[in-house]
Amino acid sequence: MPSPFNRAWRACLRKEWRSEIRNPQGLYLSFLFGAMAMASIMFVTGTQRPTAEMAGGLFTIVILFSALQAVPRLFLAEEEQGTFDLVRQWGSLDALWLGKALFAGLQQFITALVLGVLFAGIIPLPIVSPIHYWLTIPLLGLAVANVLSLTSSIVITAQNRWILSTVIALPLLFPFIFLGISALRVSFGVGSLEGGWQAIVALLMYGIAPLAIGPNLARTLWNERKDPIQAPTGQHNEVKP
Amino acid sequence: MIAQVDNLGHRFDQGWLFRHVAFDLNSGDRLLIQGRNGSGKSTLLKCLVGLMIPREGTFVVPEAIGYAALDQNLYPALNAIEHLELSADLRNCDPKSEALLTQVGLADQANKPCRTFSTGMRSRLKIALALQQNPSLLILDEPTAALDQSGRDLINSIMEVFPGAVIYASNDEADARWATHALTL
Repeated sequence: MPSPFNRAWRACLRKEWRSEIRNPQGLYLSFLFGAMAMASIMFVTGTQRPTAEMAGGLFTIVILFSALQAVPRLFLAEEEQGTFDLVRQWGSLDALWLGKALFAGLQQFITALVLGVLFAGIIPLPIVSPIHYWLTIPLLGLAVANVLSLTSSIVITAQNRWILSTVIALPLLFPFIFLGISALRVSFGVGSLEGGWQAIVALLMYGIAPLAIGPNLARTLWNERKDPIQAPTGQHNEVKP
Repeated sequence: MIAQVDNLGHRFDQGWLFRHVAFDLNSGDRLLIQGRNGSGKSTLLKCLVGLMIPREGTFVVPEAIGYAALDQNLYPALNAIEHLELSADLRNCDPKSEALLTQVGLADQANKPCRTFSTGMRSRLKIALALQQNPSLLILDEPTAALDQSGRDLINSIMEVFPGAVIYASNDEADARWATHALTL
């Protein structure tokens, strides 16, 4: 018998999965934005051979671009389609956040792997260290998804929520750009293997951190049952029997 | 006592929507909240449910509240059973899907996605979700709006047999027959 928390986050994850399978939006959006970013980059670079750092940077941009719309949509659409109040009144807000964040992570994990396969086929650079490449790519997708889940959940009821979710996320996403480039350039044969591993571990740690913060943040921010405010006693609206 | 509200008030930028709302409710009480459009009926109910923070006042309500409102939406891709299962998993209670769907007259629509539901069928499912946790306080916003005669009969039977207290907002004069107390905003 799972604990109430485990039962709740699994239910949220299942709900997101069912909604996505029956009405695909997030995966399409994520993949199409990423593929479009990659096509644009390839079109601009043409036949030029990019440096390892440049290739790492380009792929990091592709991952960012694919996540910047798809992940916030998971959270912000709840408010826009009018289901946030429905699900919020049922409680387990921390589990609700975790279920959604895990689905966002899964979505970006899959997208990053598919885009990684495409990128490996398109980029005119040999992958010298495949283990660095294939570890960095899904980790980058997961980490970016987790940060965007965190920032989207903060602004879910704000009027300009779409802009805010990205604006707040940008400073938090900068470290991923550096870590992504550091790890990916090693996979293309530039830099020390130790440096690549350090970047991967940092990416992992940085990516996990939102999963520790997010549930607590959601429990605090999404819960409107705060301590009551004492008002001055005055006239009462008449309740007629 | 099931609910105790003292001096509750809420305001938006334009000014106070309502102030000094106070009432106590016991088992069997039916409180009708009336008022013109925009007077704050739904806002007051959302404050009591915990979906909005009132700007002033205190209130004590049970942990388990059943709430159904016209402006709530359902997940279009999920069916009625999946809604009840999701709700039960988040509340950590028994889904009671079959019994609840039979009670609200949706047993034969249980596996259809909610995007195919009419407004009245959605209202029925929201009633089922509200009743799922055996709440002692039921809060209904416009409970009979969009319902046909059998739907109104369902609300009528709930109002008659529900053992706890009910707070409901309505401007339909026919709904006043259940009220043991009335509050005009």
